[in-house]
Amino acid sequence: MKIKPINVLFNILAIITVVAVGFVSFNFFSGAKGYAVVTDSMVPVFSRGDAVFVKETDFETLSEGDIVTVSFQDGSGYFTHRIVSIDYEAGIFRTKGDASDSEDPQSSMVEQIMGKVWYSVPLLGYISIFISSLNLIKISVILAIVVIILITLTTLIQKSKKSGSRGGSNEQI
Amino acid sequence: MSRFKKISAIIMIFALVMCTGYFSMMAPTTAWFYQAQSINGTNNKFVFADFDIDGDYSIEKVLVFDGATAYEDKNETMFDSVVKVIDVDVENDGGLPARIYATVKNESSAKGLKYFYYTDDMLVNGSVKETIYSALKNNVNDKALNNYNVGEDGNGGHFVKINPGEKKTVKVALWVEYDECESELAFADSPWESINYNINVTMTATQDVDGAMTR
Repeated sequence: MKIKPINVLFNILAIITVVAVGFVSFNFFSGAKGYAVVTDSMVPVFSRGDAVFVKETDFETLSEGDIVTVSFQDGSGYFTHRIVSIDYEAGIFRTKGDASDSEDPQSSMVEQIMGKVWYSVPLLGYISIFISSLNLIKISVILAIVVIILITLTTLIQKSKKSGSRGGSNEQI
Repeated sequence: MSRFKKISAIIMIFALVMCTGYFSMMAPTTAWFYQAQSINGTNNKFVFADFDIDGDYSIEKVLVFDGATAYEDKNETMFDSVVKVIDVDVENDGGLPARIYATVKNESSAKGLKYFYYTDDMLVNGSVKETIYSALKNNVNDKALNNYNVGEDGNGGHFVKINPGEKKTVKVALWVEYDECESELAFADSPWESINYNINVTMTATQDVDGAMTR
C-alpha cells in the first residue's frame, strides 16, 4: 500500500491539534494559569524558556519550600520564587530564587500571591518569549516566508498530481 | 484529499492558531532582583546576560589630579578640559531590558572627589559641565548630585537603560572640589602639586521593571 505524503501530514496535524487542544482545555478547566519563564533565577528547577502553571492556593496551606508566583508590589509584573520563610499571622513571606545566593530584597504580602506552581513544561515558554519579541518587520518577514512555503508546497503537490495522472495514462497505452 | 479532510484540516489549523495564541499570552515570570559586578579593569567592559553574571572582577583605578585648575580656573571655565572621564562599554547580552547603575567609591583619605555618570545622548552642547547643570536642573550642589548618582536613600538615582542586544558606553566623569580636599592640592604652593585618588567603580545591572532592588 502506497502512503500518501498528504495523509501523513494530515495525521501529524491531527495529533498535534489533539495534544494542544487537550493541553489547553486541561489547564482551562483545572484553573491553572501559565507563565513564561524569562530568567534563570530558578535553575535547576526550571530555566528560561520553560512554562510554569500555577493554581490559586490558600495562604494557610503554603509552607516553606513551596514555589509561588508573586505579583510585584507595583503590579508591573510577576516573579516565581521559592518561599524561604513565612509569617502566617502577618500575612507576609520571604522568597528566594534557587540560583540566587541571597533572599529577595523585599518581603511579599499575601495579596501579591498569584498561586502555587503546579507543574512546568520545558521550552513551552519560548512561544510567548518569541512572539513578544516580534516587531512589525519580523512579523512581515515570517509571514512572507510562510506564504512562500505554502505556495511552494501547493505547486509541488499539483505537479506531483499531474505527473501521476500522466504516468497512469502511459501505462494504459 | 476528501472534502471531510479539507474541512478538518482548516478546523485543526484554526484550533492550533488559537492554542498558539493561548501560549503566547502567558505573562513573563521569574526575576533576578539584584546583581552587581565591578567593572573589568583591563578593558573597561561590562557584559551581562539575563543578570546571570559570572566572575568577580574588581579594579583599583588611580586618578591623578593636579592643582593647576585650583589656581588658574576659579570659575571652572576649563572644567571640560580637566574633568577625567572613564568610559565603560556596557553590553546587554541577555533577553530583558536592563538598568545600569554606577557607583564610585573613593578609597583614599583625600576628600573632595565628585562623580557624575552619563551617556553621550545626554550631552548638552558637547559639554560635561553643561550636562551636569542640565541633569541637576541648575541646582548644582552636593545633595542634588548625590540624589542624581545614588538617590535619596542610596537605592535609586539615575540609571542607563539598555535593551537586549544593545551596547552603550557609560561615561563616569570625575573631578575634585579643591576647597574640600583638605590636602596639598588645596594648599600647595605650586599649581604643579598633585594628589592621587584611589577609586573603585561598580556597575550594577538590574531588571528594568522590578522596582525592587538594592545596591
